[in-house]
Amino acid sequence: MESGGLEPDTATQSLNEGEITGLPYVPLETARLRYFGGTTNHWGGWCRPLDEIDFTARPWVPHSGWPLSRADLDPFYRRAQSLCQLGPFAYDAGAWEDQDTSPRLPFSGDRVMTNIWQIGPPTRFGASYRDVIARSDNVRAYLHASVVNIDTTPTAERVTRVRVGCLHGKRFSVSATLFIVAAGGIENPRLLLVSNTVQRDGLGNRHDLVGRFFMEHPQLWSGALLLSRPSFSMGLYAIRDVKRTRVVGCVSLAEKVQRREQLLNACAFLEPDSSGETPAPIGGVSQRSPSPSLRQADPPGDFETHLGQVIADLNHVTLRSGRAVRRSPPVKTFRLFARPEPAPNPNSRVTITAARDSLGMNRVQLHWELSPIDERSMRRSQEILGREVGRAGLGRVRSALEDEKGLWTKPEGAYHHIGTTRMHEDPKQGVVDAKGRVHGISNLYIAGSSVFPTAGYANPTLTIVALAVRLADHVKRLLR
Amino acid sequence: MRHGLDVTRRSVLHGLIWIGAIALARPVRTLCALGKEGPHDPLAVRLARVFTHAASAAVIGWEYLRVVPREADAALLVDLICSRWPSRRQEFDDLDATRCLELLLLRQRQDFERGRTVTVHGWILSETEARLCALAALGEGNRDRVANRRGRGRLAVERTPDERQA
Repeated sequence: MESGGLEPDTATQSLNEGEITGLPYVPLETARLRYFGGTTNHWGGWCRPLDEIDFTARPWVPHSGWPLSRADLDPFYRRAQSLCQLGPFAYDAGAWEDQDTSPRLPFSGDRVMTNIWQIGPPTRFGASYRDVIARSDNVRAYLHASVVNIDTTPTAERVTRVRVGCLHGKRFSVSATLFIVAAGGIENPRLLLVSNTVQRDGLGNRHDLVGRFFMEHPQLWSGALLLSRPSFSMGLYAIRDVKRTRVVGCVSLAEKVQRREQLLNACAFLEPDSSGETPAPIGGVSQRSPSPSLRQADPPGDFETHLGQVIADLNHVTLRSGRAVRRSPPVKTFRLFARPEPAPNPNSRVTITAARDSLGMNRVQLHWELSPIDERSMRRSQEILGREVGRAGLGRVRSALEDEKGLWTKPEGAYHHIGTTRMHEDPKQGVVDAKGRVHGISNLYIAGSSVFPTAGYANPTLTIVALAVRLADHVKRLLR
Repeated sequence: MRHGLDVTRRSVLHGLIWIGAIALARPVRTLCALGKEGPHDPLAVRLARVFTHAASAAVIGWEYLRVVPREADAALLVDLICSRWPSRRQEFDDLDATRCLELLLLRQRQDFERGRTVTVHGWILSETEARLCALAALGEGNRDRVANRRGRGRLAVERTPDERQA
């Protein structure tokens, strides 16, 4: 059942409208797309698997830990690679660097490291797989068919049918052996919450977990890197094509330092400073530019230039014939675009309101909230990067969080809606089990980033696809 | 009827004068320090001249002193720079310029390694380099400009001939 058609239309899109409370957020009808191919229709194609540490239970990150490991998911990541039209399943810097033309920055490795992202065409799943679906003997897609309710047996142990509404007024229901809800991180909990005729608080919501733990990536232009080795090739950190695969490097926190300092995972992209221009968006997502008016105190206007001269003085001392000779080459500035992992927070949530859409479904309210560990972790990550850059003699780092009041209170999301039907083996701690099945309901499954217990810093699509492939294998075995 | 505390207009005025004097004393003292506590110690002078771009170093140094005003004293800065030195200060006094620079660089890297950093306008700097800049700010050549900056609230740094060439 696909709520939209093959192209976007305003009436269908308006079904996504809802209220925003908590942190500022983009209107919900622009954050998701309701037509064939879904939100992949405005996806930037940026891919990276979650790191091994993202799957582990970390005592300093409440509610962390997946019921599966990175190794469990690796075979499915490999299959997801080709579905997302990416290159080989290789995300370590070593696989993509060239010592001469694009080396990685010489970090210690136990604090800061370089990781790689791959960027797909991007794959528009609707356009790319429409023919495959059309030719398939056992797949049938119904367009303009919005599921508005899930009906169950009187004990809610089994789903019997889904009720479907069409904008032109037609209504019908669909019965099946097994149901998979795959409507995104906001619509998945909405559908469970509105299906409340048997379980009053919504399906699968006996423990008040559906809709909670909403996570977004609170990304922001977080500062700058003043590179005092202008001759160092930064090719690895720029978007480039290597053997027909588009890749880009980021700097990220090593697992060791995350454990030692009890931090969330985080990465940052290095964007060459185009002197005064509004920084370009990273990953195809709209992003507010840094606001000079938010600065706490005015530094001298050319502070950065003076600092460049000073570190060039210190960093470029060479010794010739026993005497110090200084070279003061110009420095290069890169803007830092931080992509931190958000911590799971039960108060950050999706709920339903009394307002209804044109199909009679309760609308949603999104309350996005961050936790104190998010801010602490972000500030400390910047500090660690700054120290590592200085230690390696690469230059200096500016942390905008230390200089711009209120910057952290208005992060912008990346249109990633994660965690609202989280996965956990214990029904008291998760909505779905490790297979994606809703606890207590034998034939209802959920696909998508709503099942992620934690979000890592990577874009969720590759993991969504890997989990979908894994679920498809499981369902095939069940139905055989 | 008299109250236990006899408050007269004169005593109130007296009190206000004292409060005003105390409030003014600290900035005046700091300003004096900038005028009088510039580097006269030969080692302080050497350290203040580490930078080719002395005026740039002075700008950074001044901003550092705004963060840590208690260090607006050349002797204190020299002590702090030398305090964790592997060799003692006397030994450092005897080093030639090259060795001195080598040690400063080593010290700077160690600062980053060991978390001895300070944040100035968001920039994460090593304590040693920030203090060297502060010495440059207090240096003979920059003292007047630094004082001018205090007066105007903003430093218009003049470039030295060296910097203009650079």
